[in-house]
Amino acid sequence: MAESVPPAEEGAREPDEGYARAAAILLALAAVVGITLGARASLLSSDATDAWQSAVRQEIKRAAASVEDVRFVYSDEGPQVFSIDVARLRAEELRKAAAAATGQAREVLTLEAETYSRYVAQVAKPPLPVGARYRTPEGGFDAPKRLADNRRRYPDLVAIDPQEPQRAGDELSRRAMFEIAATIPAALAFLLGALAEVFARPRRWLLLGGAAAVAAAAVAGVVLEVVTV
Amino acid sequence: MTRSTRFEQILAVLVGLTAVVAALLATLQLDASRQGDRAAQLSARLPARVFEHIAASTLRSSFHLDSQRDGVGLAVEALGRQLAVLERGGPDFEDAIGRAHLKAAERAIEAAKAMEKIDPASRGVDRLTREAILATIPQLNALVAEQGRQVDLGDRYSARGSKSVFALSLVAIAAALLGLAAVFRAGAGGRIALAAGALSLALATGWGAWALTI
Repeated sequence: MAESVPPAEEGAREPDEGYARAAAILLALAAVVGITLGARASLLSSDATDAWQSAVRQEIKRAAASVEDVRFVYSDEGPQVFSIDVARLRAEELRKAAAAATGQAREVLTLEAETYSRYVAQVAKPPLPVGARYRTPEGGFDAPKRLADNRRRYPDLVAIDPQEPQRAGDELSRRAMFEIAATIPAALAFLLGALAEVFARPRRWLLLGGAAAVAAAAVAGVVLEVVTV
Repeated sequence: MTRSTRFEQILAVLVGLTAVVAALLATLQLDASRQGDRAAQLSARLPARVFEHIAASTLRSSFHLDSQRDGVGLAVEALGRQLAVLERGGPDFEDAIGRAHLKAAERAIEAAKAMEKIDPASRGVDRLTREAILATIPQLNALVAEQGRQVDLGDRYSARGSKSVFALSLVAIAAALLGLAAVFRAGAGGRIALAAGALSLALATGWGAWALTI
């Protein structure tokens, strides 16, 4: 074929073939960059969903542990401890009244006080939190302090923070969005490459624009791998 | 490169535009999918918090209410004893017992009120448990409203995602038809495939724009 081309035409065809090769390379590059970015975006998107699902799991685990501790302190222990506190207050007041009374009244009041004191002594035993640590200055039960101590027994459960995977999911999702958006300049490069194939006059500029667009897409893809968005 | 025909020029423009529309629609679809997934996840996560807040705050308020009720009950019992002694007569110590129990009741009520006033933060209760036990009705209403909003948002983005997937399917059809046109060249078959491809691409663009309005 080359032998049949006159020398003058051969010179004109060489740049044409160069442009054709450049256009073909640009189209291939745009396709490869676009598909790579799309695939990466899809993977990041999947990772984001995983992180969000993890946030749901953690929220349920954390909430269940929290409610169980609250139930234990405010529903199991609290009423029992406060009934002991009330008995203690009754014993104290009866003893004070006995000290101020005389005769039979003193005897009966002391007996009543003793009854409540014995009740307290019998039921106010561990594992109920009946020590001074959980007694308020007014003689009640310091339930929040007990709750805090109870929660500290399982620090792993207290440390659960569903916002952590939530934030990670949000970050991965943002990154996926930027990656997929970076396919737009790659697609533009494809458009410019396709135009360069058929429009002779602006071919050089179309190819240059296409090369710039595909380079921008590739750089964006690389940058998104290394920076936090 | 030889001089291109009008048919080839139109075909090249349409092929290039197909790539651009595909990229735009893929971006729209991924955005809808991300936003929809996030909203669905939050709408699944928030009920756990709502029920935690309801359960924990109810347990706490019931305990404090019952404690104060115990104190009031004791006071009523003590007053009843004193009234009975007053009306029916009886040994002096009964009145003294009644008075002692009344004082104990006053102290119990005071203790119960003081217990309720303790700030859980001052005792080291962790933030999320604190928020749960101190949750108020307006806060719960706000959480429930937010959960509902996330469900609506999830539905909205799901609809947008479905429409953008359909638009992407139209783009795929357009690409196939344009490929067919490239094989048939400028004959009747090629022109028909080109026109159908262009129509499919236009429909995909319109569908994508409609998806954006949802």
